[in-house]
Amino acid sequence: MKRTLTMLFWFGVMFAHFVGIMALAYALGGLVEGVLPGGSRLTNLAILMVAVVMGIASLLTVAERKWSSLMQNRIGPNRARINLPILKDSALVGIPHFLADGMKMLFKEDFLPATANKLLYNLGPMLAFAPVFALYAVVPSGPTVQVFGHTVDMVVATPDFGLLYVFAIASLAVYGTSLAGWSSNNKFALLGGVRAASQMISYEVALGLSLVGLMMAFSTVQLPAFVGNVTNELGLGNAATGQARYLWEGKIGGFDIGLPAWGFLLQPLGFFLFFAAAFAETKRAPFDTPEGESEIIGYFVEYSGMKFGLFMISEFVEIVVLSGLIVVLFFGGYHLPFGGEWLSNLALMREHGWLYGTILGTVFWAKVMFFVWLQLAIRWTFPRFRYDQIQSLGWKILLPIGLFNVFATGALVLWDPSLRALAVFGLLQIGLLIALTTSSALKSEEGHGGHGHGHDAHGHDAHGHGLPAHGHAAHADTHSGAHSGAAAASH
Amino acid sequence: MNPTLDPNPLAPYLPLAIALLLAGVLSLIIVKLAAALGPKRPSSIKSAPFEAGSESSGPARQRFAVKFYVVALLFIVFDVEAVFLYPWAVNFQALGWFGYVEMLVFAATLVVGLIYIWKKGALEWEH
Repeated sequence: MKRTLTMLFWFGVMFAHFVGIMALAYALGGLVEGVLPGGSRLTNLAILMVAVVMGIASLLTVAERKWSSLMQNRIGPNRARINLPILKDSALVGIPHFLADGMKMLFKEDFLPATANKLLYNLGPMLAFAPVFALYAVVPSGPTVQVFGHTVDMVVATPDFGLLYVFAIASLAVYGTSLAGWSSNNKFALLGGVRAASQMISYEVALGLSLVGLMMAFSTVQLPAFVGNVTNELGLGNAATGQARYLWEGKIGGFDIGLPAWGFLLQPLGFFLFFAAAFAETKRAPFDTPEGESEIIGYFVEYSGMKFGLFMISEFVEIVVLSGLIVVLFFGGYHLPFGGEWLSNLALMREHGWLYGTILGTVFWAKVMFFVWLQLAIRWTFPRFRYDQIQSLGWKILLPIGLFNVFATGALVLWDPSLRALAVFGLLQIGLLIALTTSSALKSEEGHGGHGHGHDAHGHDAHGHGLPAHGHAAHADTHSGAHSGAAAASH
Repeated sequence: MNPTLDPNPLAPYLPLAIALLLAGVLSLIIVKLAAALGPKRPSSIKSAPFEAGSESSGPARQRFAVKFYVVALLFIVFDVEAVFLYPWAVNFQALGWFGYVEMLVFAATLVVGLIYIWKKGALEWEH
């Protein structure tokens, strides 16, 4: 009970931060736009990319260890304190650990292996981090609204090539890993770098194919066009576009309800392909053969201090960016599943554009946090694939399914350009998936019945069942938190 | 779509250039800061390659399995296929069934290639 309350409290803190940050982003954008037209792009850059994405990524270093400890029935990181009288020596559920880790990594010795190639060795972590960081520039995080008489949109850049930028820049990250592996002049690092490069380019094929169906359905590669606008958004008199459109729409009074044209409903297969391939690109478990914590020596074995930290933080930035992309492409971006039209046409929202933007921006970040959580849960639930399994999953399963998806989607889009046939096909796929998942769950349920109640406090007991049954006795092993994450254990 | 767009066609790319520049500068600053702040106590043992504790034998610039090269070659073929699909996908509804069949033929030739390399064993990693 106490744990549930604690979690609810921190959920509240998180949402309060999102509301505050989005309100600040819109207000600042409106103010700056008055001084320098186009300047809101720069405030978006500072707030969305530097503050929010980097902030979430650095907090994820703690969140990952905290989630792993919850799932393994440990306490997790709880030692770092901030020495302020107001905090009363509280551990703040371990959050200050990311500060301690950052400080530690910055002040660690930064050594250069004697036989390493200095330039490429230093370029490795930079090329791992910079492309991943720059990716977020094209992800729209909130609607375009009027603030203080100026138009403010919540995206850093809206290039015509949208998704192509994502593919192009994301694939640059492979240079970071292979350069790090090669330049360290270490046999294990070289092998790790080669494994990483091979895995990343294998999954890039599936990644590229997974979104073609979505491009066909929406006839665009621009991310704001995928998100779209609701009907008559803020009195602009436009028709609904993109994922804000309804496939089937009904009205209850003024409240609109229906089946939105979200990418996930049109392209469930595309979503799973994209998620699997992008997950492999992040090189996290179950795809962590390039570098597997303490078990597999990887491409950054020769890196110390903050250079290692750059590799680690780029992994977490990738989680946030990937979640943002999933939300924008498959889960309606910042739109509500229903009631969006009603909300945007309230007199209050029309009058105060920033309020509308803040609400939808918070909706966006809430969705993003769900997918961030999903990735953490998967990372601590699935056993690692063997390297040959990774390669055959990419080439023998994802690539043929991706091709099938492209042409099945194409036929359905041409047959019925209103996308309803595609949505029916998508719903059938989802139904089939649910049937397959639950039937296999029934088969394996005999093995571990009757130890579910202890995990209720975790809020997602479905994943807790996979643990051994002896987990009820809480291990008060406070040190294990330090070993569980990559941050504290390495170097 | 976007009412704030400047008539200048390069305007949308300026924030993108700034974002890319910021990414580069930020990573450079972090790397330089790490080098500047940490202590420097080099020793010959410390700077030797760490190869699981045992003594390093020879340089690391050695040959590795040819499979990785094969994967790189296959990647080129199929990624170029995906690149050809994008412009087609964006104009897909305008091209209609004719474009669909054209692309189906193109993809089918590559599927034949995929079946060939599959049967040849280029995707096998067990041996």
